[in-house]
Amino acid sequence: MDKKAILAALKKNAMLVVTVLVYLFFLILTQGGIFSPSSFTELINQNAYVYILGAGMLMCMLTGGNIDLSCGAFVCLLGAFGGVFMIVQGMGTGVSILLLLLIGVLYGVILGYLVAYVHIPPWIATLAGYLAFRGWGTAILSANSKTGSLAPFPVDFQRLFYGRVFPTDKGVFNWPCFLFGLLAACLIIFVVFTTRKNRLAKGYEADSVKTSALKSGLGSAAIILVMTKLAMDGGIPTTLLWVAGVVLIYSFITSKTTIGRHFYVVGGNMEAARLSGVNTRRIMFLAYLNMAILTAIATFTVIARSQSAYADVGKNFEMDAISACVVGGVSASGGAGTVLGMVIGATLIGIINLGMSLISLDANYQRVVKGFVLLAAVVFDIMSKKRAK
Amino acid sequence: MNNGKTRASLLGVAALYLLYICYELYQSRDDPNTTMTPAVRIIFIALFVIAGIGLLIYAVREWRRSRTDDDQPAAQDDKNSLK
Repeated sequence: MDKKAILAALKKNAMLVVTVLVYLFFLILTQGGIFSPSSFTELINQNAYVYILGAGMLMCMLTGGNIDLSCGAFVCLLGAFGGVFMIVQGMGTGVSILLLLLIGVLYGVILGYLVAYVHIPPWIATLAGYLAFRGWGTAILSANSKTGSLAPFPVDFQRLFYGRVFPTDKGVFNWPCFLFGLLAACLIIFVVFTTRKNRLAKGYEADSVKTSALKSGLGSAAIILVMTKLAMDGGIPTTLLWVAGVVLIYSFITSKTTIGRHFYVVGGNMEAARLSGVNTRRIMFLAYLNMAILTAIATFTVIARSQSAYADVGKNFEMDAISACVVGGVSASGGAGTVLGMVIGATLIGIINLGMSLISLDANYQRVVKGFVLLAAVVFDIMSKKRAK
Repeated sequence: MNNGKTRASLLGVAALYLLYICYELYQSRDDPNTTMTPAVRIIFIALFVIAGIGLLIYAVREWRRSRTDDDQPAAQDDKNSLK
């Protein structure tokens, strides 16, 4: 591979390179602590909400840089409702999950209607939720508990969203987890080469065999590494299954379905999309309905992990989701961005969060680091726009 | 929905978040557990206030620029209709 090709590849995958460099930085700083099996599990469990909310935020941002400021506060409200249903009222886990999803759908329908059909700017419509939901959630918690929090959630709920698949004791190698990793690695290689073959058959440009082998090799190696570490730490966390499910579904929707392409078209030029026959109002409605449902799913993983519903849950979640998208290359103007980019952005933020907590960095310095990451992403976006002009 | 205006809104939200970080840093000044010295806190607050306000001004300018771009095609149409 010549120098120009290597530089071009590095530029194309800049965020991935940055993620690896930041990981290596914390690897040195934590003296290998971030490479331990428990750190890999913690990275997934601690940041599951970023991946899930990031997928929803991606769909909103694709429609034209629109965002949802209420998702963090909505997590607090749903957590409070969940606590009341499962702990105070003693309802079954299944019924409670359905009710919470219904509440998510209801909010999504109202929000989607206000944004798509009443034409209220999304940031105003969701700002109302940002201001109201946390207060509402806190009021519910205070009314049902002397301490202002509700705990513990039922064991089967926690197992579903914070458990392990085929669990083994820590220190015992979890073979099902490792075999699952091998299977996923083989699948990646198969998908990369099949996609290449299909593209060539249809006359499109495709990567060379060397590039495809390198891409699939690196991807497979990363998956085998992660799954080996998880196998050494007791097995596949159920959180990973939820995250993987969301990521795979939305990857498929955004790249292989007509409705997914409509999101890009609406974000690229709404008027042109409308004149081309795309139902732009329906796309906007679906973006916010989808976001509300994913917020409900993210809530399950968060309250299962914390094993309680409390007033501060969900603080700054919306900024984490937006940062994951912006850092991952989702355009602030809309019409550009991928699920893979969002995943890389979320992973980078997750590594920074985990690294900072492993070195016990002061909370104030953590805020400063988050501020700098956001500033860097915004400056990069402004410079890219200037270069494009 | 105008993409320029939406982008400007997003930049505005980022600016407000930077100012919110300043507020959090200021609120934690009496925290006995913090290792951040007052001098370092003041430097970071000043840095984020400047960055936040700068970004807010930029976002407002982008908003006004995209509003001007919106108005221009309408003016063109009016010109044509007089013919």
